[in-house]
Amino acid sequence: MIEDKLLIWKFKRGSSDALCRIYEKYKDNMLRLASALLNDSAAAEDIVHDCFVSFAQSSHRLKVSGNLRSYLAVSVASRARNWNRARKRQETAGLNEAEPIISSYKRPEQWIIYNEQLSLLNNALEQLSYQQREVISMRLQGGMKFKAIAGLQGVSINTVQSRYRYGLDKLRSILYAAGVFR
Amino acid sequence: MKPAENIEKLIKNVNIETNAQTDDAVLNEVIKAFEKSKSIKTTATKQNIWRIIMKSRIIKLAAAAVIAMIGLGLIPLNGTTVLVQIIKNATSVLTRLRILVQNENLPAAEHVERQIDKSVKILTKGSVYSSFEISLLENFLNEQSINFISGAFENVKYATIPSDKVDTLQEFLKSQGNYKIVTSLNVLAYAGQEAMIAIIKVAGVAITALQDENKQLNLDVAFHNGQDGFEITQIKLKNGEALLISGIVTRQDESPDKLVTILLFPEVIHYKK
Repeated sequence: MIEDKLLIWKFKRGSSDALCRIYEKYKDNMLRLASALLNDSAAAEDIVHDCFVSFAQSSHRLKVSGNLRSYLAVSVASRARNWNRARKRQETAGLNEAEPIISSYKRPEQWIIYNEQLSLLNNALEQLSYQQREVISMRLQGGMKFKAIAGLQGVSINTVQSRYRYGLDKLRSILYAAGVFR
Repeated sequence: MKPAENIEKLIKNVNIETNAQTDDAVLNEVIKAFEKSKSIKTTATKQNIWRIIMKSRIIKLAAAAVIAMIGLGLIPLNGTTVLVQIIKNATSVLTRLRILVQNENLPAAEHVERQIDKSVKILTKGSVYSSFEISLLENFLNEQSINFISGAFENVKYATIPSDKVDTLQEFLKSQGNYKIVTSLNVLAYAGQEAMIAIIKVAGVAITALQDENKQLNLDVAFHNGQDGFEITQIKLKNGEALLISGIVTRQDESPDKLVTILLFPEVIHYKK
């Protein structure tokens, strides 16, 4: 936390070393969060890329009141939400034309290397409602407090906690059925 | 360990691997963007009319044109519907969303008159807007010696319209009658809110507003889907001041490239609670 404050202080004063450190420190977290929210590796990579580029450009007007990880997580989640909203609007293709949920395309510049555990978890998260998925991902992968998530979703803390609890229950049963827990 | 803790631990610690080359490539882009923003920061800050307004309190009006071209099939009706639902609940907020046309049978461009809450005093003149093609606006601004300021991205730029040229701009807008208004909206954001002033060429847009626990409206204009990112300029308003953002979404009548224009006019106003 203190390191983050120092990094932000340096970053705002033009230190690219601080920016590199922030990137190294949080890129995995943000990729994990974005891929959990979207279950689409290309979109997740684009969003995290854009998030960091936008962050880099905001040094002169940046104001981080909470912790840096949450700040970045909110940025990723907002973009993911927009992306999902856009995707819903465009869902007009017939089922036969539709791609699988996780794109099987291997791109040379692919950023995230999916392993079995990550794919399994993301597929399980995909089966939750978006609100539940968002709460769980932002809590566990974004390190956010329930209060902050409630603010982001525009609902009460109780609602967020319920979404978290029910989401975890459902996730457990999905993963149990998939043989992850025995 | 409880099952709940078990699954929490699994999600928290799920292993993610990344391609080291892509890591470096992204980091390079991030650093480049950082260096570029540092170089344009000074100029941009000097010309930031919002800062001047906030500090001087003398200028009574600031107008910034925000234009975004979006794909026709991506008109953010869902976004604006959400916006309306949320704003309706914000009793202290002036807002109006006027749907002039939906999808078909577009009428000719018509005057949009704001319905202003009596407790809010608009410090700007003019309530009639029309729409225009971006290149026409660019030409007009060039003629008026108003330059676009480069944004953080290559295809992001914005212009601030000095108060003495607002009337001229409005005359220009009124004279452009070849386009049709789809939607107009007014949003009031109170002190501490953020608003975007930029021109962004993207393929999609979402406008959302969330009322926070202090009954303030959090406005978020996010452009997405074109992966060009978005640029938000934070505007800090003092007590008794508010920001009214009037927006018009338009689209061309018979446009081969089917582009849509969004125009937002942020204005500083005084309000009484």
